[in-house]
Amino acid sequence: MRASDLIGMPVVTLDEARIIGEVRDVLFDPRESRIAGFTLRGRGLLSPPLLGFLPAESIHSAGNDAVMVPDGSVLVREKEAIKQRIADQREAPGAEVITVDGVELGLVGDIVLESAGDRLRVVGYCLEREDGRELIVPAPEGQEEWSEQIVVPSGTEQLAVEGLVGFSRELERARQRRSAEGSQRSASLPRSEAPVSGRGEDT
Amino acid sequence: MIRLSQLVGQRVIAKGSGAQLGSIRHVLLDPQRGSITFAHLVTAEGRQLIMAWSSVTEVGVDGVFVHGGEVARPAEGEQEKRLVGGELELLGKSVLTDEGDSLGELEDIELDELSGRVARLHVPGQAVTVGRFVTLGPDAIIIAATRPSSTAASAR
Repeated sequence: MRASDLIGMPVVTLDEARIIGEVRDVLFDPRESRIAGFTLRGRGLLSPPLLGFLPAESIHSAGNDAVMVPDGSVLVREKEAIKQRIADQREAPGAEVITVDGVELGLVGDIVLESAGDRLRVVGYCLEREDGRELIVPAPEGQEEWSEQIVVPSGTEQLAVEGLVGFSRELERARQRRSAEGSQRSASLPRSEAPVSGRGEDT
Repeated sequence: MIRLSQLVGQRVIAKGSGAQLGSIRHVLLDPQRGSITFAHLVTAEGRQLIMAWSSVTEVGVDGVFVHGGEVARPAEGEQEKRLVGGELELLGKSVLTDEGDSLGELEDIELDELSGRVARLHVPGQAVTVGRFVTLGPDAIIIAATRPSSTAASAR
């Protein structure tokens, strides 16, 4: 799902089946390339514009139609606490994506998320292109450094896919490839040694 | 097996005396038990009463039969008042899985008329067998998501 799909989604408590608000902003933790949490607003025209901050670790599940939380107490409501939680987070949209060898890929328009159990992982970045097409590149697993730019491995531009459906398919394929490689390698290797030659990187 | 829509509006009749206690307006679903446990009745004079579903002995075309006239009483406690107030109305309520996927609005419930046990929920386009109810609240009925494997019961 796209991070923007979450905006406006109702947040429902599992203990009382009550809607406590809806997602206003999706906040991104730049250091770990993960979702830090959501700010919530009230539902309806006359409701408060900021109800509080919902830390990602307190989310039970984010589905297609609602974000489920255990109960209403997980919402951080105190102004100071909200400020603190929000301070070092940012919204990924607008950040530039660049490969380690300096190829500028574009500006992030949206983030692609995957709901893995109770965790929301960032798996891709939707890039805004001047030609109006939406290209999605995979997010590196376990991002290390992030300042104004999102730095991705070299060659990432070749993995760009148009549209979310195609991207999910590619992601799945890449995972299968990786796990197949992993099992093949361990199966074909003698137990004691692990030769690392033959990858075409010799100088 | 009977549908909730067939029960609502049914007369509740005391077996033996034939006295009419009222007609069913709402039922209370106990999510832990997955059963209907109470019914909210409205008498001919407009009084609001509560009756335990366990008093039901028979459900026929003419009405719902119970043991005697003493089974209905005024609402007590928070939950029964919410039931009478219609806050726990089931039909039309949004059905959500605990993973956050919506199944649509509840159209009907199939239940065992004597035990009150809920067999299936009717939502737009399908009838869902509920493994486990999580919560019934003002904004939704939350059910456990059905997973392909049967190991889901051990979760949490």
